[in-house]
Amino acid sequence: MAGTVVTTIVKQEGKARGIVRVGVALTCASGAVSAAHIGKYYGKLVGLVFEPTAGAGATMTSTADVLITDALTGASLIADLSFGTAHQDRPTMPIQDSDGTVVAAADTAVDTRRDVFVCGSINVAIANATTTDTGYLGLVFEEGVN
Amino acid sequence: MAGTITATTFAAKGRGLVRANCAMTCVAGAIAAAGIGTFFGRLVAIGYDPVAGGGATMTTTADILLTDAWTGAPIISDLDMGTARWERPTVAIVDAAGAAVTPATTAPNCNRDIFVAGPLNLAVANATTTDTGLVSFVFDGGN
Repeated sequence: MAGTVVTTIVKQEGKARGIVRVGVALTCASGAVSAAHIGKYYGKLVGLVFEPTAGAGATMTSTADVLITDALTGASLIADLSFGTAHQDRPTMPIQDSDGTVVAAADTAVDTRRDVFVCGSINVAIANATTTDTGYLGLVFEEGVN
Repeated sequence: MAGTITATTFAAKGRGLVRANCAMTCVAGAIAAAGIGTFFGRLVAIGYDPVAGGGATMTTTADILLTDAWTGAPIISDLDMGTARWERPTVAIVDAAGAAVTPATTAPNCNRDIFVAGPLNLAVANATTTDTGLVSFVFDGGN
């Protein structure tokens, strides 16, 4: 007999919230923040807002890495290696074909990046900052309206 | 007299975003096609965690096979369980005659979102002994 698959369904409880912004105040110890849970979100990650001078600590510079992961699998959603200056990003990710191969952008493949969808618990971590740097990270999700 | 066609329609009320977390346990390096539920909408993300569960790590040799349960048609045939990662799956388009559209300067947008509608099966092949792992499928079921 072959192995088993046990499936657990996860979906948002209650009504979808439309546009949701979560503000994450970051305080490093020894230049890092371990992966910390920031909540559960269900939809497209449509904005990232970086503010490196927020908080009472030293400015979080371009060396600081922002690591956003799916909490259940540990899979990387965003690995931004430059906290840098105050800025807002519109994140996307490269597509794969149905056998899991990344579709390389080319003159003949011009729509190879799509929105990043999340569904469940999200973690944020910081690496390669300096000592007790502080900063602010905003994540904007479009959850739809059910 | 000509033959007959019997059509049966299936539809679902939109459920928004739905995630199916599939905990896998291999026997002799495989899992036979098993039902994981019924889903309607776009398959917008796949998450892989090869170290989940109490067994050995599911390595790059393991094949993840997601199929339409009624027809057996492949939806995803990922031959590399590999490392923990998050993917945005698409499928190559075909023309009205069923022929694959080859990317060209005149055909520059040849991968589209994958839509599913109905029960799905998941199978694993080419893993090792009693490997375990987890794969998540995220469906945008509409509103």
